[in-house]
Parts: sequence; C-alpha cells; structure tokens
Amino acid sequence: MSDLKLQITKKGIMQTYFSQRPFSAWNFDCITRASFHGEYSFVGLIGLASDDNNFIIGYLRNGFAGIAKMRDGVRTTLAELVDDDPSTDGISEDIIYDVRFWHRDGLFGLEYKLPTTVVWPTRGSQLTYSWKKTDGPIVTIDDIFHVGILALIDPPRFRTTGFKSNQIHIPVLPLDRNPVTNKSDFLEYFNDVLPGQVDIEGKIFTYTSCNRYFLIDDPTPARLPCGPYQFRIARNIKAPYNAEDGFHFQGGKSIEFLRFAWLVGADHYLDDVGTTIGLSNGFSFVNEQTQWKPWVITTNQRVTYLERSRYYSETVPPRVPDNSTFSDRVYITNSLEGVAPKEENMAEADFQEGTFVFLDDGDKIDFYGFSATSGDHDYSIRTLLKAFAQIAGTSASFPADTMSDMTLLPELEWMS
Amino acid sequence: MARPVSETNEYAITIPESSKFTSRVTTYKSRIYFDTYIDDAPSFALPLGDTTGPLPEAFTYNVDMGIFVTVTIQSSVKIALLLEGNATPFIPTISGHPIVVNPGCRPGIYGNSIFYYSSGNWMKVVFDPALVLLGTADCILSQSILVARPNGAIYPLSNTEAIIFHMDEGGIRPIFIASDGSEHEHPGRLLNPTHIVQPSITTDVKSIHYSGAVKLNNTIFVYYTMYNGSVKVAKYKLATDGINGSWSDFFVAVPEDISVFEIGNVFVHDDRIFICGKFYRKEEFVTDTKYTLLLWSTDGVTFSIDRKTLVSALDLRFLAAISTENDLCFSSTNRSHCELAPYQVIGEDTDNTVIDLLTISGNPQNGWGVKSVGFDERYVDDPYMVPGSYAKLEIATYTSIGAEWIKYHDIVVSQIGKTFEDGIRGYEFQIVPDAVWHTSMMTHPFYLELQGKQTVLDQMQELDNLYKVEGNKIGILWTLTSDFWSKDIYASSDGGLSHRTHAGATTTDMWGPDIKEFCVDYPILGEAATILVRLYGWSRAGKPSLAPAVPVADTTPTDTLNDQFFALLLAEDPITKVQTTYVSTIGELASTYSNPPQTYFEEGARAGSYPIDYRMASPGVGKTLIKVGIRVISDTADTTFLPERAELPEITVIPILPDFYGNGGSEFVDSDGFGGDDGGDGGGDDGGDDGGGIVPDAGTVVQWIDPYGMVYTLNFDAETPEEVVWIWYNEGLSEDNIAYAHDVFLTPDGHVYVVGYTFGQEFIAVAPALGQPFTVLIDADWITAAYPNRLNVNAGGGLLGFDIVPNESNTYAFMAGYFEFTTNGRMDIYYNSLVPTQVMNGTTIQRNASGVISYINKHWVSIFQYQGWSFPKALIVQDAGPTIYETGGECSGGTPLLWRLGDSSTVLFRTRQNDPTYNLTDFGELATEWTINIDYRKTALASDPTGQSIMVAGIPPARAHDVYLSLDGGTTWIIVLIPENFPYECVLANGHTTDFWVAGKTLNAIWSSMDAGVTWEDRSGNLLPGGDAYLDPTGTTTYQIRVGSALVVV
Repeated sequence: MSDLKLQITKKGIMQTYFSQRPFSAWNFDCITRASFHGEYSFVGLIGLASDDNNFIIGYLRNGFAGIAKMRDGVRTTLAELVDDDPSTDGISEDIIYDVRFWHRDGLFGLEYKLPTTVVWPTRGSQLTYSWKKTDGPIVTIDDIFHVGILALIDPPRFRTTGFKSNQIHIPVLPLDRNPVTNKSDFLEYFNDVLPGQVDIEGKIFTYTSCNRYFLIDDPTPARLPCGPYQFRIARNIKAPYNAEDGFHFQGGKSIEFLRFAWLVGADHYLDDVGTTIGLSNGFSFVNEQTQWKPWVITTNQRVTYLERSRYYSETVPPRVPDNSTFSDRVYITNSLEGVAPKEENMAEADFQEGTFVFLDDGDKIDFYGFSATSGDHDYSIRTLLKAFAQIAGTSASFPADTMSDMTLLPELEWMS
Repeated sequence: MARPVSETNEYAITIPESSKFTSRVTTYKSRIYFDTYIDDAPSFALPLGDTTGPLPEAFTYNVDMGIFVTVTIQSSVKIALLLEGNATPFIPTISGHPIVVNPGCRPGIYGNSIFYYSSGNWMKVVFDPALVLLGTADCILSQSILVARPNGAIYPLSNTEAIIFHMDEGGIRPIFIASDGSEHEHPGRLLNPTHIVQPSITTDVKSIHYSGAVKLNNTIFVYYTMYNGSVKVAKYKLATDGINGSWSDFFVAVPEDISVFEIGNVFVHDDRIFICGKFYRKEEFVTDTKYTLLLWSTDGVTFSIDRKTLVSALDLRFLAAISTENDLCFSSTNRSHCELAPYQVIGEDTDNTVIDLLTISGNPQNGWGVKSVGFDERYVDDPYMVPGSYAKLEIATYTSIGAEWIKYHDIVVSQIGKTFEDGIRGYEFQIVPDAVWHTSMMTHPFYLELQGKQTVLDQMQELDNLYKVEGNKIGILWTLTSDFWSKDIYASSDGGLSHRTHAGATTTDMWGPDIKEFCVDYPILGEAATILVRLYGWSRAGKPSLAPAVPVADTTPTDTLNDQFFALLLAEDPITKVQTTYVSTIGELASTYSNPPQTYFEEGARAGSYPIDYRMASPGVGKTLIKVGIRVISDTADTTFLPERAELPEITVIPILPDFYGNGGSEFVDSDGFGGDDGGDGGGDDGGDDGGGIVPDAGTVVQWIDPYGMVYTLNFDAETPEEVVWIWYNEGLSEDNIAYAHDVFLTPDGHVYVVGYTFGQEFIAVAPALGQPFTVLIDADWITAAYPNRLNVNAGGGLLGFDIVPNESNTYAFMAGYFEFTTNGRMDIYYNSLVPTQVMNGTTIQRNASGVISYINKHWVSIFQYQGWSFPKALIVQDAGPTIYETGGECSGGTPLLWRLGDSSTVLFRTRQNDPTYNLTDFGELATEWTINIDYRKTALASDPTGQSIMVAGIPPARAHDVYLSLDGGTTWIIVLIPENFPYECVLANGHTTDFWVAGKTLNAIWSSMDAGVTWEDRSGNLLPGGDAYLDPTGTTTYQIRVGSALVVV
C-alpha cells in the first residue's frame, strides 16, 4: 500500500492544494488516493479553480460521492449519489479510495474505486454532471483553471464569547446560526445529555452537557441571548447592599455590567437564573440571581445605578476582579458544561471572542497520492512541431523517422 | 522516402558517361490580395467597418447556375438570394409567399437547397435553379422540416445532412443531423467560462454565426470562434453507415494570441479545409485594421496563418467559395472579388512561370543559389517571380525519350538578384525549401506563439508538485452580526461601549464598525428582495444617573416614552463607489414594536419588542454592505440607551478570527480579587466604582489643584470649551494627603499616582484608573520604618523624588533616603516596587534633603544633594550608578531640579533657585549653561516627545516673565502669549504633539493651545462659576497638569 503523504486535521477551513503542473487545464483529469475519518469530512479533487474560493470539486464523504461548485467560499452541491450499501461498505470512513474527477467542455464526471481494483469504472458510469446555465459562469476568471486537491473537515460549530482553558463553561456567542443550514449547530448537533468533545484551534476539550437556556428562535422576548454589555465591576456584596425593599438577594460574589432593566427584585431575581454569563476575557459562570437595581452608598447617600444590573453567583471565577476591565464585554448566553482539557497537562490557553468551537470526532483526511492531466491530448514534441509547421503554412518532414500513430495507454495504474 | 524514377531514366543515370542533366524552377501564383470589389450589395447590406453584425448569410458556388450565390435574410425576415452579377436581391416564394425565417438564425445553402430556422424548426426548401435564373420568384420545389432544435446556425454537408450550432444550457452545442434525420449531439459544449450565453442577448445570438462545418472524407469538422478569439474544432468520425459515429473533444484550431479570428465560412477543396474569416488584434496590440484571412489545413485541426493567407484589409465580413473553374470568390453580401485560386487552394493548377536554370548549387538545409538564363529579361516583371512565391525545383535527365523531369523539392523563392551592366543581364535568385522559408518568416501580425501545453500525465506520488493555497479569503463562513464596539470605542477613555443619552425629539445614529474591521471582506448583497435585520439593545426614558456619584435630580417627566430603533445599512454601489445610507421604515417592522421594552418610569412604561426586527428592502443586487447600525429616535424627553448588536442572519460573511482589538493574550493576574471572605465592602461608604480601567487619551487631562486635590476630564478636547466636564475625584486620599500632595502622574494604561514629599507627610497613592479610589502605597510611617535615623537630631531625608516611565503601561520609580549631620546617610531607588536598590551610603551623604528622579533616555536619572553639610554639591546619577555629573558649586537652599526633554538623552538641571539652568547632553561631563532661565519649578518646563519643542515658564536674562517656546531643542525662543497676567507662574504640559499644549495656574485658569502656542482657549468648562464642578478659586494653585496619551512601546 502507498505511504501517507499528507494528513489534514484542521477543521472549518478548506485546505486546498493546487498543482504546479498542469498549472492550468480547461479539460482535465485528476486522480487521488485518499481516505477520511469523521462524519463531516470531505476529500475532494479540484478543477477549474480560479482561486481557493472558486472552483468545482468532486468529492467523497461518508456514504456519498458528489460534485459541487464553490463560489466565494459557498459550496453548492450539483450532483450527489448515495453509496451507503453496508454489504459493500459503501463509501465509508477509514477506507482508502482511488478517486478520479474529470471535465470535458461542460461535462464533469467522478469515479472511485478501491486501490485493489485495477480497472477504473467506465468513464461517466458513476456520477456525471452537465453544467447548466442556472449554475452561472463555470469559472470566475477566464484564463486560469487550476487543478488540485481539497480537504474539508466541516463539523458543527459555534463561536465562543471567549474561553480560558481552565474554565468549565464554553459560552456561545450570539448570533449562533450556521449560514449553510440556517440553524444553530449548537442546538442541533451538540448533545445536551451525553458527553462529547470539541476542538478549539487544535486543542481538544471534553464536555459533559450543554446549557441550552436560550432556544435561538424562541419567541419569548426575554429568552434570547443578550449582549455585549460593558463590564463594570466585580464585587463581593454584603449586607445591606444586597437588600431591596425587604427582599434580600443572596449577596456574595457578583459582577455588574451595563444591562438595564428596572425590575422588582423580589419578583424577578430569578429571571436569568441558569444563564451562562460569558466574558470576553474568557471567564464564565452560571448566574444564580440578578439584582436589577444595584445600589451603593456615596457620601452617606444611597445611590442607585440606572444603567446596570448585578449578577450573583458563587461560581464567579476568583480571578475576574483583577483581570477584567471596561474593555471586557459580557454576554448572557448558552454554553457547554463540564469542560476540561482532554490532555491532562495542557498548558493554559486563552481563546478570544469569536473563536470557533468544533464538534470533534478525531476527524482527519489522509492523502497518499495525486496525479493530474490536461484534457488537451497529445502535446508531444512531435505534435507541437507539426502544429508549428502547419501554422507557418508548411508541413513538417521527418525523412529518417518512422512514425506510428499514438496508441491509447491503458488506465493509469501507477499507484498500485 | 525515395522518389520513383522511370526505367529510361534509370538507364540514363546508370550508363557510364551517357547521362546529361538540366534543371528548372516553376513558380506559382501564391496569393490573392484585393482592395477593391464589385459592389452588387443590396440596400440592407452592412456598411464597411460595421460593428453590429454579422448579417446572416451563407455563400456557395451553384453548379447548376454557374454563378456564386449568397443566401441571406432581409431585414423583413424573408429569405433572399444574392446572385453574382446581379444587384437586385432575389426573393424566392412559395405560392407567392416569401420564406419567412427567424432573423437570428444563420441560414445555410447546399446546391439547390436552402436551410433556415422558422417557428421552432430547422427547415429545408429546394429551389429550381433555372427558375431562379429566369427571375421567377415562385421557384421553390419543396419544403420540409429537417429537425426541431433551437435557433442558431446551420451548415449543410449535403442535401440531407447538416451541422447545427445552438444554445444549450448557457453554452453552444454542435449537433450532427444525419441523413436519416437522427441527431448526434456533441457531449460537451463550447463555453464562455465567465458568461452564460442567452437567447435574449443579441451579441450572444450573433456569436453563433462565427462558426462553420465541413465534411472531409469520412469525418465532419465543426468550428467555432470562442469568447477569447481562438477557434475550436471538434471532429465527428463517421462509422461505416455514414450516420453513427463518435465525437472528439474540442481542440484549438486557431490559437488566440492577443487576437480574434471571426469565422466567416468554411469550405473544402482538394482535401484541404479552408476557413475564411476576419482577423484583428486586441488589447495591447489593438489596431483599427481588420484583415481577411483565408486559412487552410490538411488535417482539419491546425491551420496555416502564414503571410500568404492575407487576402484583404477591407473591413467587411467576407465569405469565400470556389467554382468548378477554380475561380475563388470572396463575397460580403454580394460585394465580391473573384479570380483564379492560388497555389494554396488548387496547387499546380494555378498560373505559373517556368524558369530554366543555368546553374544551381546548394543543399536542402540551406537552400540553393540559382542562375537563370540571364540574357532573357522576361522574368524581370513576372508577377510570380517574387520573393515568397511557392515554387518547385525539378531536375531532368536526358534519356532516350527526351528530358524526363523529376520534382526535387517544394521550394519558395527567397531572394532575387538582377544585374544590368554594360549590356550584360544577370538574373540570379535564391530558393529554399518550403518548410524552412515558412517557419523562418512568421512575422507580425501573423506570427503565432506556440506555448507548450501540459503533459499527458503528470504523476505526483510525492505530492511535491502541489502547493498549498493561502488565499486572502481563508476563513469560516458565518452569519453577520455587528455590535457597536468599534476600534475607536476601545481607544476611548471609557475603554468600551457604555450607555448613551440624548434629548427629546432627537435622532442619533449608532453605527457599528466597518465590516472589514471584523470580517475578511464586505458582504455583497444577493438577489433577495429584503433583508432581515434584528436590533438588540435597551432604552429607557430619563437622563443617565451619575452613580456612583450622588445624582442630581432628573427632571425628565415620568410619563415619557423610550426610544424607537430603526435599522441602518450603509451600502456601496460597486461601479460608482457611491455609498448610501438605507434606513428601515416603520412599514418594514417585522416585530410587534419598534422600541425595546421600557421598565423604568413605570407609570410611563410601555411594551416593546426584544429584539426589534425589520425586514427591510435590500439596497440592491451586487451592492456591498459596508456597515450596519441603529437609528435611535427619542420621544418627547431625554432618554438613555445602549445598543447591543444588529444581527443580519441572512447575510454570510467570513469573520476575521481573533485577535479582535488587542483584548486577548494578556497575562492574567492569579489572585482572588474578591478579597476572601471578608474582602470587598460591596460598594460601601466610599462609593467605590468599577474595576475597569480608563485608557487615557489626549482628551484626558488631570490637574492637581491646591487645596482641593485632583480634578480630571475625559473630554478636554470637546468641541467647545463649555462642554468640558471636570470631575473632582480624591476617593481614598486622606485630608492630609490632599493637603500635602505635590504631584500627580498619569500612566499610559490609566493608573494615577499622587505623591507628597513634605517631611513627615510623605506618601504615594495609586488608583488603577481615573474615577477609582486611591490606595496609599507608602506613607510617612513606611518611610520612617525604612529610615529610622531620619528622626534623629540634625538628621533628615525621606521621599525625595518620584516619576513614571512615559512609554510603558505602568512603571514607576521613587528615591528615598536619609542623612545625619556629618556622620552618615543613604540614598535608595525603588524600581516599581518597595524593594530598595542602594545608590549611595556612608559619610559622603551628609545632606540629602531634596532630590528629583526622572526617566531619561531609558535610564532612571536622579539628582540630589550630597557631600558636605554646609556646602553640598549636586550629584547626578544614572540608575544606581554611575555618577554622571557632579556640580562644582553648592546646591543648598532648595531642591536641585532635573528635567527631561522628550525621550532624548538631554538632561537639564538646576542646582538652586538663583542659579542658571544647565544642559548636560549625552550624559557628558561638561555642563553648559542653557540659553534661557526657567522658573524654579519642575512644572515650569514641558516638551513634546521629540524634545525639540519645548515650552518653559521662563526667566530670561532680561527677567521678562513670559512663557517661551523653542522648536529647535532650546537654541532659539519665541514668546508665547498666554492670556494670563503672570504667565511665568504657569504650570505647563504637552499633549504629546508639537502643537498641543496645556497651561494652568489656578482652579479657574486652564488653557489649551492646538497651534503651538499661537492661540489659547479657556478649557475650564464646568469649573467656572455656575458649573457643577465649580469651587471657590480663591487661593488655589495648580500644582501639576498631566495629559493622557496612548501607550507607545519603545
């Protein structure tokens, strides 16, 4: 079996490699030998690529083979066949395949086989797609047609408000909506009762459950992720500052930020209980009570803040007061729970606001070989000379040569 | 390959001494070139130089009629025949009705059959040529449907076969209609990679006319001019049944080389395929000239474009055909030129000249030099004896039956030499093999550059032929959400986005940051007619509270309403680059309310929506979305509001992955900031405010004013002086601290230090930010504990100097020590900690009652008294040593002063009050007297960061009491006219630029200049009478002024 030459594990971002030779090919044949692991892994061959965001791809993924177009980074499936036949293993992860993707003047085709199968399936027998005018222009630049390979590990994801690796929550940044599915991956794919693991910039963390306090399209006005609000202060609140008209909040650790609602404490102190409070500096905790009318004493006068709220929790991380500034942003949101580094001795890491958090299953894509040809047949020196002479208005003469017509080469079995 | 010879020839050659040879060259008519034509064109013919064409037409030689015939379409969509030599179009009819066709089609003609498109079908009519010659319009013998295919161009190959080009799914597809009516599509299509061809686009329809098809032997060739000007060809190889077959891929027949070749028509003659078409240059090589070329090919795939293919430079679209008499005719809607075809078309059947040779010498590699029968001048003006003429070289052997000629080589005449001298006539010329001449003579504009294409197979088992693509749009797609935390807001004194306020009936637009601040690129709006925008934020009636300060009464009526939110989009037209703001309308409201819920002023509270949704009309397809925002409109009275974010869940972007605005990656303090079980006071009596910090900028100015303490403003640069808001803030300082403080410092990251030097009242207090309480770092007790001997008789010492590093976020140092009369002493520096570093000790320190430390040229430099009780000198020391300078005279009677000029290495010092100021450059040992005397205060000098702009409250030799400005590091000075009676008493500060200066003197006297001291403006703001920060200015003195600045890392 061939040796592994390239392994891709990075998630979310297409990894594209272009061929230097052919550098540009209108009609082309591309072949690769590759395998994949993971429900969300695509292994593909690229053609008619103007750049790394605009090309046509023939791909395999778990149970499917397909042809898609990529325009400005948006993938649109053009044709896809299902091959999940358990009796033949279908297209399955961890199996090495030979894949061929080709184009002839608007007609694309894809074939795949096991490396142990010597002969390729008949060209066009498995999946073809004839370009349609509704697909738009076939390329975005009319004189560069790169070919190459593509790997995409595209698992469900969300963005975090900020996460420090020693925290036990990973808060979800609003707006949590995958543009491809127009849904929240967090709510759709992250299991809220079973443990799982996530990948953040290559570091793996386990989690035990999900805090799904907010359902994204819940029409109830209050049940929407909030923020960002400016952080103001973290305090350890004692009596009498936890009192309001005879009602006493729990006091103790709290943070205040610029969320305003003039609500009666006794009636509304549990309004946001259970929400995850995420700070852009990576700290987070689950809210226990909310004091909507926080107050202090200044020069012997009681002064009420009219632009902020005070969120209590005994689990406010101890380092918040000394490490938070007005530049930190606070969100009220969902989160992963029971988060811990998978590696015991992982160095502390900070993941900033907006960092993507991917569902992880040890996903990877392995490449063992690649070949590509231009679809312009037979540009041998002989043909070039002949063409040159013909254009010049004459004919090439090779008195001493014995000419024989080109013969069709057998299928390209260099990899076996 | 050996040439065959006759038996007699062989005899003649092989019999010794019997052979005799001769040779000759036959030159042929090698080109057609014309610049005139016979004009029999109809009125609807397109004019010379037309660019709207082409006109639908096909051209052929009709054997039965013996003339060239054009079939075309009149503008009135009738088929018309244009007959050679007849200027009147012939309109064939069927029972008196003309043949109506679709005007977009290119008709075809083969023999007596006309092919055209009408009403969804390709049709064929057969005419009677005799009736046509007689001018009988009703000449159609039959009419039939050929095939039902879309409109396009048709090229009949016989009376029953044809090739049709038509649009198919955005491309052009050729199809072979066989003699049995069966249709054989090419599996591929001719595509413009970046354009979808459509029947509704006229240029797309006409582009199909630049095509052609012929049948040569058992193969059909189809040609099409591509979008880039090249010509592509595909072959349909017929099976033995003459119907079925297989298509080849498309190949390049005529390469594009910054040129366009528009096919006119294609025909076959003598196993050669000819394409007549228009050739012109484009882009960098563009000219006005349009050439008509007649290209030829023997294999149907690669065509000759040598200089002999040029037939005319008339800008008409010529089609070509050949008659049975070998007349070649070029016609453009019956504007024609006909003459005998040249060598390329009919070979040796064309006209020629035979030249008998006198001598010949040479070889096939380099050509031959030949001499003809020179005394005969008949070749001098021979039209075929010109350089470049096709020719053949023959040799003859005289045999028993006469001279037997054998063709030796196809040649080209390359050079001709004629001599006329004293009656002697010479006629010599050079001939070279055909191939050699052509390949060496390809010149502009007809040269073509063959570029090596790709290999047939490129195996890359090591993947080393692949390169990773790092595009500029690497990223992960996500939906667009924008908050309002722009970079400007981060850089503001508030350090983040806080609530806003505005008066009643006011519209305030809150824009988020430019989308490219947080996304890889601007989103381009698609075809959706509307865009969903969801606005998050809160709003309440009333003015902002002043908490934690004691608020003033809010006079806002309690029954007023909060704000309405509307969506804002700023979009840019991709062509004009004009940016336009689009505002949602109340009619586009998709939520219940246009305001967020109001929970304050409960009697006036009203319901609201959270979020506020608008489904607003899209600014338009293709427009670029630059940024989004919220328009906040208040009702009848003041409101306070905070915009959170605007979501556009239908818009896709690629977010820039962190770092955002430098908020991450910092070291975190590992402590429990809550202070343990009995820690913080919960916002207790001191009203302690927030744990966040204010990053000071140029709008931040701090004053220490005796006896009131610290007052600061965050908007010193407000648009008008009246808007400047000063805030008194001394929380955490005792009354003694305030009474004995002398100095205030503002670090780049916002820490505030207040320092007092008075013996027994020394202290250093620090606040993490403006508006946050001070904590006393050291006090007199701490000093005494460190230096207990200072309390002895005739002893002294204490806290002597303090400074910060101006280019580091929060770094300070102070100097402290003690002395005992004639016995002992010690001087220490404390670098950003309370751990001393000894500078000096022992008996030499007999007096150090005063000193100054400053951070100069990346060193801590201090000046203090030492050596001798009665006549101490001043010592200037760098860090904990070495000594930089020791003054010669005594420095008793006050504090020696030290100034830094920007970040330069220049030290200014002064040993005592009435002494001059000295300049100590580069820590040299020679101190020179400065050109101007400075008022005896540390605060009497300020400089910009370069040290070249210096402002001093000066005491010049003339004792004029003015403020002076130097722009050359102190060499020359000008007087600055500060609006103050005694300006020399001013405290000066620089705003970190050459232009921005601040001067102050008392509580109600602080001015700023933004033009390097030319004009000054009172910035007392609310410190003036009537202002809410006003205090009695009587007896007040400004001790220090500091201007905030952004951190500059050095």
